[in-house]
This record gives sequence, C-alpha cells and structure tokens, in this order.
Amino acid sequence: MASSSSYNSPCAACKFLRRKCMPGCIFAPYFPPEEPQKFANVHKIFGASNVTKLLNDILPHQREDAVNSLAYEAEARVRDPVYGCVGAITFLQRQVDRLQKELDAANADLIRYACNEIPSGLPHMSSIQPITPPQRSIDHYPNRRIGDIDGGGGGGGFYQSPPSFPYPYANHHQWNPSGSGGNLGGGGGGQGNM
Amino acid sequence: MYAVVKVKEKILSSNSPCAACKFLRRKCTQECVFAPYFPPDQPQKFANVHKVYGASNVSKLLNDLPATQREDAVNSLAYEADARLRDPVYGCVGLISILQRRLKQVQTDLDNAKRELANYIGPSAVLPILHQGRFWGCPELGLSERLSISSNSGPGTF
Repeated sequence: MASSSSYNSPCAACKFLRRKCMPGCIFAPYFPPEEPQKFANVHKIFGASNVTKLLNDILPHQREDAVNSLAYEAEARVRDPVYGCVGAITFLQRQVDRLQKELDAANADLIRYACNEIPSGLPHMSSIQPITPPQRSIDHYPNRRIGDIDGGGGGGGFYQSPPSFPYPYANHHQWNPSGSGGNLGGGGGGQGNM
Repeated sequence: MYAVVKVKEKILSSNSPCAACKFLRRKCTQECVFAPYFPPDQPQKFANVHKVYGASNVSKLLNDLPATQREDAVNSLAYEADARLRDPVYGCVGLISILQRRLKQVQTDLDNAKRELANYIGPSAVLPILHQGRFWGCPELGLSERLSISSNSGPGTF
C-alpha cells in the first residue's frame, strides 16, 4: 500500500485539490504524489466527495482495491467516454462466446471420433477393423463445466453463454452481482449496438 | 437517431419533469440534458448515477458528446453505477476479472481439445487454430496488464 507522509509531501489528491494534506487524509494511502494522473482521472469521473463517501462506507482493508477499481473505471471512461469499462465487458463476453462455440465444436468432433463415426484417416488403421481410440478420458472436455468460476462460490452448472450485454434499464434486466462469481446478467436481449 | 432524441426531449419536458429534475427538485426545461435519458418512470436509474458520479459530472460528460452517442453513454454509466452500488469495492471491474479468467479457461480447454483432436486427424489440421492469437484483456483499453488488485478478498489480478 502506497503511503504518502504528509510531513514530507502532499498526496496526489491534496496536490490536485490544492489543500493541506493532513495526517489521516483518506486519500493519502492510495494516491501517492508520483501518480498524479490516477487522482486526476478519478476526480474527473467520480468527483472527490463521491470517492470520499464511498471509501468511508467500506472497510479499511478493502479501500486499496476499491480505489484501484475506481481508477481503472475512470481511466476506461476517459479513454472511451461513451462506453467506458462496459466496452471491455462486451468485448470479453463476445470473445468468451466465440471460443466457447469453438470448444463445443471441437468436443463434438472428439465425441464423434471416439464413437468411431468419422474415419480417423490415419494410414495404419484398417478400414475393416474397428478403430480403437487411444485409452484416454474422452469425456474430460465435453463434461467439463466450463461455466464454473474458479475460486468463486457460484458452483456454476453447465456453461451457458453469457447473455449479450444487459443494460439494466433499457431492457429491464437485473444485473446479478459478480463480486463473488455469480451469474452474468439476467438474460439475453441486451442492446447489441456496442 | 438525433431526431428521435429531440422528439423525446420535447415530449418529456412538456409533460412532466424527467427523473433527474424530479430528484434534483428543479424545473425541467426544454433544454434539459438529462430528460431524454432519464424518464420519470425510472427514478432509480438517475438516483444511482447521481450517487456514484454526481449530476454535474454526468452533465459535463454528456455535453462533451454528440447527441447520437448520449443514450449509450447514459446506459453504460447507469450499468456501472448499478454495479458499483451492488459491489462498492470492485464495481463492474469484478465482472471484467471474472470474464478474463473465464476466457483463459475456455482457451485452455480449447487448446487441450484440439490437441486431442490432433490424435485423430493429425497435427497439421489443428496447428493453425492452436496458434490463433489470444489475450485475456482488452487491448483497445490497454489497461488489464497494468492494474493489479491485492488478493485480500477480491477476484485476483487481471
């Protein structure tokens, strides 16, 4: 955790706000003077008083993570004023969907080969003899619960493609909390114009 | 799209104040920047956005955008504000972290499946696919590689 001794130099927040950096400044541990842009972005998007209120409402050991996530969102919003972080979420969801479809197709092929429906094409295989697949756990990938979130408490279930990005108000879908690894979104039908 | 926005603006401000002006207890004028995007029947939307960003920050952001992009901007702000209120520590960044891990997992599974397939149809058929570019982050944002969050209680690095 970065700390800025107000005895030595003001934190980035107090420098920006042009005020004395007092001992116990709530910003000082998280906005070191050598990272002025971090506070500048957070201030621009959220405002100093909103950040103060938010930090005061959470436990001290969580504040560093909170500030870093705010800084991340603020930077994303400064770079992309229309979509901010939500652009990244949509992008990642699409990537996951795309790769999941490829995985499903690969798994389907594996099952077919394992069940001997498609000739392997290997030169040493006789067309009369049944093809014996290598001894391996062929069910490993088809049955794998891709949707399980490691480290999370969700328990998952069989992977379902996450819905397209749900705007909670435009489509009246509820966004489920994700902090502990819960489901993504409340259903499909989100706006597809991102 | 711009014409639709202007029509919405006119209808809303002539009938009843928008959710923003109701919340802020002020007169909702024809020029209200919030009116097209914060209808009076969705009071929570503005309440959340105001709590996280503040009305003046949202107003500045909208004024800096062309009218055709404001609806998307407001909806993404509302989404992020909702996420932040549900998870004050990570907000929607928690979801990004989860998606990145999921993407990595699916990529690993895909690589493994294709290696298995190579046993049946030969390595040359799958090599070009195995070597497809992969990443876990958001190159257009360039953020994911630089930020690390302590693992005290959160979703981990991303």
